[in-house]
Formats: sequence, C-alpha cells, structure tokens
Amino acid sequence: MLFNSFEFLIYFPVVTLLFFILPHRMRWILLLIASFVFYMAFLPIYVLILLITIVIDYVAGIYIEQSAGKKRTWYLILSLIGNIGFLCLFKYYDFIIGNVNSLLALQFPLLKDLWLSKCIIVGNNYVNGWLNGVIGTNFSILTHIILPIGLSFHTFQAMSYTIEIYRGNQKAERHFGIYALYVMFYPQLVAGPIERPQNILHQFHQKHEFDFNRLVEGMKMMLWGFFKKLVIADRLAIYVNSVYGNPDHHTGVTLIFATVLFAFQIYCDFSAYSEIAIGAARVMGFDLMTNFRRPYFARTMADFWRRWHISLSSWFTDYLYIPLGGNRVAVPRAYLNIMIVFLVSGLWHGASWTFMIWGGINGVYLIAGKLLANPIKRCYNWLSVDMNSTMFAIYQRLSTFLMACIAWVFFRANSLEDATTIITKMAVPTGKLWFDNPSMLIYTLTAVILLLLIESVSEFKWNKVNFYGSSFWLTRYTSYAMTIILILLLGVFDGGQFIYFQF
Amino acid sequence: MKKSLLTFGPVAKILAFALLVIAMDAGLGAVLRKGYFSQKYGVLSRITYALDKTRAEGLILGSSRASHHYITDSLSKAKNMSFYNAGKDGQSIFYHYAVLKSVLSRYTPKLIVLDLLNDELYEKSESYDRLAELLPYCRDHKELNFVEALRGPYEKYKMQSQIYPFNSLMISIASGNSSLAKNRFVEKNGYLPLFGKFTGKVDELEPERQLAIDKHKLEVYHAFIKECRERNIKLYITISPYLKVLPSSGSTKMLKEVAAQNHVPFYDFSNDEHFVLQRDFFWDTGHLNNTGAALFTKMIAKSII
Repeated sequence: MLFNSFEFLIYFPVVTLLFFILPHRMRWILLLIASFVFYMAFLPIYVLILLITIVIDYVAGIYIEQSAGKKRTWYLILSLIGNIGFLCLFKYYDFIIGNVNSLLALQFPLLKDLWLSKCIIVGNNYVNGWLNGVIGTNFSILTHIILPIGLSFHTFQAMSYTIEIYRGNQKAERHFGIYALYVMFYPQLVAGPIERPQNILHQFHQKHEFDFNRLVEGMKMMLWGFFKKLVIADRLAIYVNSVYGNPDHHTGVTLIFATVLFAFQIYCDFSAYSEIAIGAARVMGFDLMTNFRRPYFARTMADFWRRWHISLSSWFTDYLYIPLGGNRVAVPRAYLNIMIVFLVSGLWHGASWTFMIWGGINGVYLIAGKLLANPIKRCYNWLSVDMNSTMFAIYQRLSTFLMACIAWVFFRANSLEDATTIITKMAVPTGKLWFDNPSMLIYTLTAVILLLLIESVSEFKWNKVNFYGSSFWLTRYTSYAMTIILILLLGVFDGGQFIYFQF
Repeated sequence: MKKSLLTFGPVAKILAFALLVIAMDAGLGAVLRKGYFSQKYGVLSRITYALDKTRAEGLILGSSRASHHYITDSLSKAKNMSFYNAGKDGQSIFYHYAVLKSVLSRYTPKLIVLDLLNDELYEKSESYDRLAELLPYCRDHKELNFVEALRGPYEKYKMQSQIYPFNSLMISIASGNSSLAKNRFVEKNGYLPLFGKFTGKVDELEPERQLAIDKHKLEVYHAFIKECRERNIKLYITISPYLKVLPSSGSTKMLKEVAAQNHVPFYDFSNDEHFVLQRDFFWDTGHLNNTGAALFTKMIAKSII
C-alpha cells in the first residue's frame, strides 16, 4: 500500500483507532495483520519471502544466543546466507550473471529462465487471478519477475537483529509474533528507517497509552511528509522524468536544471516517506530513528552523509566499516574501507554500474575531503578567508550541493551511456532552458523555494516564523490547515510510488 | 474567548480543526470556481466553450492532432455550415465522449468528425489521468458522472473537496483571466494552427506493438457510435496523417471493425501517400503544420464529408 494512496487515508485511522481500542495483549496481533495487509497490497505472493526470512532469523537468533564458539558463528552465517541469498537472487542475480556472461562469453541462464522464476510467476498469476476474479482486487499478473518491494530494507533490518544477538548486544526475542512485527512493522517495512533491535523491539512489549500531544506531533510529521511528496517531489518528477527520459534531446542548461531538481526530488521523496513512517509510528506511541537532517545544508560531503539516510549510513558504519577496521588502521587501508562501504552502498541501491559509480564518486568525495582538508585550510588561511563568515558557509553549502548533484546524475540516469551524455553536456552548458509551459516552471520553482524556506526555518531555528511550533493554538492549527489546502491545490495526485521502494 | 480556546479538549480541537479545513476548502474552492468559469482565453476556456457554449452544426472531436489538423473556417466555407474544433491535447476517447454527452445535453449537432489515434484503444494510464481536466465540470454536469468512475473508486470522495477539481490550475486560471493567454493563443473556431516545418529525425519503422486493448475505451467507443446513431448525427471516424510510416495496429483494426459493424464511415490517413515522410507538411512527427492542415482539410471537405 502506498502512503500517498487514498486507501492509506482509510487504513491508517482504522488501524490506529483499533490499536488504542484493543487491550495491550492483542495489539501485536492487530499490528501484524495490518502489516501483512499493507505489504500484500503490493504483490501478495512475496509475503512468503518475508515469512521465510522471519522464520530463519527467529530460529537463528535463539540458537545464536544459546550456543558458543564456532557454532554460534555458524548460526549467524546461516542466517546471513538466508537473508543475503534472497537479496542476491532477486536483486543481483541478473546483474552478476549478465556481467559474467558478457565478460566470459558464457550463457548462464538469467533469472527469468530459472525454474524458480517460472514457479513464482505461475503461482503469483494463479493467486492474483483468483483474487482479482473473486474479490475484485487489481493485483498484477506478472510476465517476468519483479523485485519484491522494500527487500533491501527489511533484509538489512533482519540482519541487524541476528548480528546484534551474536555480538551480545541484544537478547533473542522468544515471542515469534513480536519478532515478526520487528521485521514487518508497517510504517517502516518497505522504505525504512532501517531500525535496530535495541531501539524498536522493546517498544512492541511496552503498553502505549493514547497521548494527544503525540497524535498531533505524529500527524504534523505525516502532513509535512505528504506535502514534500505530493507538492514537491512529484511536481519536480514531471520535469526530471521528461528530461532524463530523453537526455539526447536536451541542452546542457536544461540537464543542469533537471539535475538540480532531481536532487530536491529524491530528497523530498525519500525523506517524505521517512517522515510519514516516523509520524505514523509516533501516533501509536512508537519512536523510530531520525533518517534525515536537512542534508542540503551540509557544509562538507562527510557532513552530508551524516544527514542523509542516517539509518543506512549508520548500518554500514556498524556492520561493515567498523568490522573492516574503520579508521583504526593504516591510513591507506582506512581510505580503502571508506571506498568499500560506498561501493557496497551504491550496490545496495541498485544492481547496475550507475549505482556503483554513484557510490564510488561519494567514496572519492569523502577520501578527498580527508586528504585535502589540511592543504585547503592552509590555502584559505593564506588567502585570509574568514571561515566563520556567513558567505563562507554559503559557499561551502553550495559547493557540497554541487558535488552531490554531480553524483546524482549517475543515480538517476537510465544507463551509463545516458549518464555520460548528461555529464558531457553539463560540462559545457549551452542552449536554452526547456520547459513545456510557463506554469510548469512556476510550480516547479515555487516547490523548491517553499522547501528551502521551510527547511531554513528548522535549520537556522527561525522560531518567529515557525508557525507549526507557534505558541498560539489558532496560528498552529491554521498552519496545519494551510498545508492541507496547499496539498489539495498544488499536489500531484497521479504521481505514483516512492523512488526508494525499488531498493 | 482566548481562555476557552486554550482549554479546548482533544475532541473539540479536532472538530475545530476539521471545520477550519472545510471552511478554507469551501472558500478557496468557490474563488477558484468563479475564476475558472470566468476565463475568456487559453486552453481551459476552450474546454468550457466546447462543453457549455458551442452550438456549431459540425463538431471536430479528438486529441491535439484534431485541434491542429482541421481548419474549421475552411470546412464552414466548403460545406456552408458552422464548425467548431473541440480537439484537446493529450485526450482520448473518454474525453471525446464526455464532450459529446455535454453537447447532446444542450443540442444535437448535424455532423461529427471523430479523429482518433492509431493506438487509441490501447491501455494507457495517462488517458485516465488526463480526465482530471473535466473535474471542474463534474459537479454541474450529471452526464459526466462516468468521468469520476473512470478516474477510480475514490474519486467521488476526493470530489467532496471544493479545491480538488482545480488542482494545479491556479496559474492557468489567472492567465486565462488576463490578456497573457490571449496573446499566446491563436485560435480560429477551435482550430489551433502550428507554424514551421519539422526538421528533426524521423524514427525508422517500428514493429507492431502487441498492447492490450482497454475494455473501458472499447465500451466508450461503442457508446459514442450508439449515441450518434440514436440522434441521427452523421458521424465520420478518421485517423489523420502521421509523418512517419506506422506499423499496422491492433487498435486501428478494432476501431475499423466496430465502425464497419455500425456502418460508420472510417478513414485511415496514417501512411497516406500525400503526407507520409513529407516534412513540409508537419510541425512534428504527429502534428501537421498550417500548410499540411490546409491540404488535409481540403481533402476531407472534398472527398469525405
């Protein structure tokens, strides 16, 4: 189910109301059923993958806790193989086999040719055909295997559970339903934030009383999330999709403009999902981790990565970077560790060379940032640049944003060829700025200006113009109402799903 | 008063908030409605004219191709009857049927030319999305109820908002009420001329695409023909010229079959030798320029209508 669908507008209040009506001991059942419904609204058959990994990790968690030595390690490895196995099969199989085939001139079968794929397609089409015929649903009839929605998110969350038990930081959950809920909790099931067991698992055992202030806080976050998705992200997507869908036909100026818009689009799209997820959980009394902290106000790329997709960055730090040695190794090795993390992060986002390059570019940024920090500082001192001035802060923010934009080209481009074309054209920006009609440009620019203004209010704590946080009841509630009105007035209602669902 | 506001309980606060949203929605919705229907120029005023005002004896219905391909003044001169071109860019048979229903609720035209695409009947989500252009009319046009149904099961609930039908139209409404749109817009009884020649690349012949026929579109196509037959309207169905050579399409085959079953004249000008690969007659690969439109209209007036 999409957060930005009409179904969710019915689903969310019904589930929340039932959550508070039901006694505490029944709530996990409600949330689990609700999460099943939420996930199965996409493609019911894929819930089996979730169930298999839940069973594997639940059992593995108990065995890891109960055993010691090599056995303990083996149970962890088995659990990781189970999780990564599904990820590799559905997400990376074609990428790996395709590259091996073309490199070695072999003809290994692709995913669509495997008997397993055929079974899944036949099974899916039988179940969905039956559901569509009997209940009148509109589930997809597949012609080829598609990636299970949110696979990378719930796999990483499940992996953090067994790793934390292995490390002794978390006790194995004995309640199967609660563990299933840890993986399946609907607000963060398909696009995060990727939670850790220490933060969320105990919350499913706690009793949450209805709290009006939490309701308002949660709804406020959700409202802002809807605004970002419908008014900003989906509006910008119209222009970005037109340009990136056909980069050969657009000028360098247009491609630069579209890339800048994409930077805002992806931020609004993904952070909107996180805000709706965190808000929906907060209404019911659950606290999910912060996933974004206004990344485009970052002054360095290292700072950007401390503000962007925090739950994934910290996952990679805890479970990949630090085990590799982190920065407590020789300097070249530490740089290699950074590069490995960013290449894997690129691969996590998608099985293609464009995502790998995107990760690689960000790795280079971070390494270069560390290597050049002192020489650049000396250079600024020599030039007598006031590094505490507002102008210097603006310069740093703009240059960080520009660097992020260059990397985004590879993230968004449909192919490596397209990305090369775009970068080449952007390097020598000529020609006119393309736009379909003036109103398209006005709406697009209004969306970006609104975002920057509202984010500035939070970043620089301009409390006098923070109507959401006003001490006057009427001002606060009028600002909420205005947000709804703006969504109705300017929102794009046929925009479709969130970008990060595909990862 | 201030004290009572501050001491509101949760339920009262929620109710007050809901009332505030409803009031703001109703107020702004009324302003937008007034602004929308007072437009004199621009694309939106063309829709209003087609649905609510035209009394032309001959109507041209179709997508942007219709609006750029049929010179109404030439047709009027040749046939000695009034014509209006109600073609609308990006629209499909759903929209054309909506215009027909609205027109029939006011009067019965003598003749209709329905200009369709060569992939008209295929499933395309944008055919449903684009119907949003008709939402401002749904409240006062009961005959357009099917538009809400086609937009989805929740559309009737969304339409409870007074602002929703005017979503993303604020700038167009402002422009349509100013002289800005007048200066940007050249229109002659609905005909929108395009000037200039196509200089881009013409793609090579693509193989026939095996796309699914949209059952709703097929139903509406049948209904369109039925309405015209019941009202004794002379109906001509056409596919106007394209620049590039097009493969045979299942959609066109279906359109032809249904037209033949109902004894409706059907003329397929895609791949017509007068136009195909003739860049001088085209503005882009799918639209004739004014010169091409003049030739095409002449052919239509002389040998068809």
